[in-house]
Amino acid sequence: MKKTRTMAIGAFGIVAALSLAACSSDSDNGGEVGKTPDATTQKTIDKVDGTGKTLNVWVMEGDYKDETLAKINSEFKTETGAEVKVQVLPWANASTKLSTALGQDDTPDIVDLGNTWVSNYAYNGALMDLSQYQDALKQDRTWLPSLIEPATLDGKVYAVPSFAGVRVAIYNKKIWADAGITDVPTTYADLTADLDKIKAKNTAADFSPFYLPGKYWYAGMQWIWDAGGDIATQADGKWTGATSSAEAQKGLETWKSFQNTYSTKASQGIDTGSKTEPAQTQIMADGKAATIIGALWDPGSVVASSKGKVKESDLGTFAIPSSSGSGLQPVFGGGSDWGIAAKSKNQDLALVWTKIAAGPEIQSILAAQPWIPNTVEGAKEAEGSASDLIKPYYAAAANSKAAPPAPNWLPIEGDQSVQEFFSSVALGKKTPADAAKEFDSHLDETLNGNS
Amino acid sequence: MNTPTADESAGEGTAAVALIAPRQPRGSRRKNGASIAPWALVSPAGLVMVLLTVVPIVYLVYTSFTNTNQRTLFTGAYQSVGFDNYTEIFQDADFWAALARTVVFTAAMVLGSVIIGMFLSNVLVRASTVMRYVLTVVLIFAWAMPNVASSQVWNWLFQPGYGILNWFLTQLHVFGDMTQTNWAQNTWLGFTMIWLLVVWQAVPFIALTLYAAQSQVDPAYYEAARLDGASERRIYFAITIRFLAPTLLLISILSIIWDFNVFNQIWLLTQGGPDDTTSTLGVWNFKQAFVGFKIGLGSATAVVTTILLMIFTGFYIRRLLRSGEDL
Repeated sequence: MKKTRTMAIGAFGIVAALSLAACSSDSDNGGEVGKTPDATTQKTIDKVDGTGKTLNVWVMEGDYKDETLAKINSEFKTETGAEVKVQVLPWANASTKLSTALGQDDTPDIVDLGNTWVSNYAYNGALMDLSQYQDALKQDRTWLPSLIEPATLDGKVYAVPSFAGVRVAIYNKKIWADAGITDVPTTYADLTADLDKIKAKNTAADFSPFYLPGKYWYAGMQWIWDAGGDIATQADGKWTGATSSAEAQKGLETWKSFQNTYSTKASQGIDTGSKTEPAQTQIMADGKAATIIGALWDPGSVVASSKGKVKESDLGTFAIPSSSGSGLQPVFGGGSDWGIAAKSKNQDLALVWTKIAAGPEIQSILAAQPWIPNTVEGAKEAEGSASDLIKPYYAAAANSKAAPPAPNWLPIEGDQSVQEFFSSVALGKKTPADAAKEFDSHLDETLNGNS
Repeated sequence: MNTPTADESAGEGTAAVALIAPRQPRGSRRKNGASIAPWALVSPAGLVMVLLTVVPIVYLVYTSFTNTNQRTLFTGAYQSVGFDNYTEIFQDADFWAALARTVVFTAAMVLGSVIIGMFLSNVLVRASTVMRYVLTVVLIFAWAMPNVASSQVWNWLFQPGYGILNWFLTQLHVFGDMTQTNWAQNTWLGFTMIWLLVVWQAVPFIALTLYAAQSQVDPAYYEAARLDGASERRIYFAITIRFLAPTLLLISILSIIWDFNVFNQIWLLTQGGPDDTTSTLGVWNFKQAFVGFKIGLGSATAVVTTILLMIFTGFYIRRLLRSGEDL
């Protein structure tokens, strides 16, 4: 017994000594992030022999169809001889998984990143600086500003735009027609009047004229932007939470009353759907929602979830009209970029792959998936040939806004505070003013802190 | 009446006995050989333990004195910050709130699972053989279920709009229309949901262990007590509980350690929400380290949590060693 205790004390002493010794040394062994000799000299992406090598690509769930990836990979293999291993990452806690993976020695070479995430990874040194390859990657086209702007930090490009996506209202034509509505609303007053008619016609407690989950912050932001507010503003390099501003408050109030009036009580505290929450597309497929706000792939999800009950021709889309006069509500300009890991040992191969993925041929396949292609030219072509169901997405995209391009924005999405901000207002647990005050102070602290 | 002492019924000390068996003189064996052999025998297991437990702990302690963050993961750059992380934790009101929540929640879970476990072990003792088998199998199933899977099942049961439990509660016509209730968005309902899940999975081990201990009580004591005219209630508290005392103590210590560290169930059911009001130390720690990527700060929190738990583990090890010595 005595011996055990002595040994334990001894072991603890060693541990303590080691840790103190290690702490006393100056351990800043990293370099400056993103320092390149000359960002303006453009380089070409040369032919690389990748025989026997394997490129690791991580894509987010639902972003790319298998056929699209197979097409990129086969072209890449013909060009380089290298194999590609694709891994699909679910959205839940994705930022945690990506951060840890990008820090490993066997990092994925290429990662599919949400456009709001790029600045964080770029700022922290996780991504390769692509500034010198810009021209080669653009392939004589102009990238969409909503995609290239969040991918640029201090004038350097850290990710290649892949596709853009926005959200519009998707409605069930039959439920709307049954309530006597034949035209899509063109003003906010029309919209609420139509929804009132649908509400009067359908009285079940689990029915929503407009299903709008409380944690769906992409959608909630539309009302804040529409009223002239924003999440945060930047002045002299310092970020300030802006949800307490009079404009943001007005937008939040309008959103709350819209949410509470037209969506179910159960929707107030949840998001659009996960493994633990009912998916809004499923709710629409079950006929329990007349309208939802959805992305480009959502009409397809509704049709698939309905198991034959809802056909694509039963669905229509429209961009939500502005509540402050004419025009449309601004929408969240989402999208995805390709980033190349700073630690990747196959950067030359990764450049070739990315060039193919961002090129016009793959982009036309993505437009049919359907996504909005990554270049102004591509988007114009795709809009011309888009179906009536897809056209409103292009109309909405013309007036899109983004999350604050702060390197520390990612933790705000990750810690759920932006989702909680909206849902606490929808649930009535906090007044818009109280919720905004708390959220603003969290924004001030997080956006300006060193993550 | 002859009262049994705690140590007479203690069976849990056997493992410790083997470890600290008295050294016996073995004639004229060379001193060196005798001391190398045990080390050689222990070294494979010891090496694994050092690699998997000691090294990460040393690294954790080291990290807690640095400002390791997300950038460190990619660039390897970090700086020593001394005790700053610890100062920051102890000055953070959220830390104290999370600690208080953890203590209260742990107490509620330990009490719940031990009391229900005692009740079930009593049922097992009294049940017919068939019922005992049925109950044992049911308990083992609940116990064997991985907690990630059971959390997922819980999520489905309590899902707003679609959950069967909400439907059932509505059918009772006592609580009104519950179908639209979101348990995870209400602090108390959220805690109730987590409590039910953790206790449900903790009870089987406790019930079966207590049943094993309870079935070892000499029936002569019960017979004597009944002859003396003692009530069943009196018999339970005067005899059964006394026999169970050492086992109960051990189970309580283990439960405290386990329940203090509950993370999966909370993270999967409420993610610490709404507004961090179901966030225990583990969840708070995870959010610091892996969501906000303040890894240095997260490490310091983990060190503080470990020290708190070492105090409980100290009790446990002392008991193990002491009961071993007395046998």
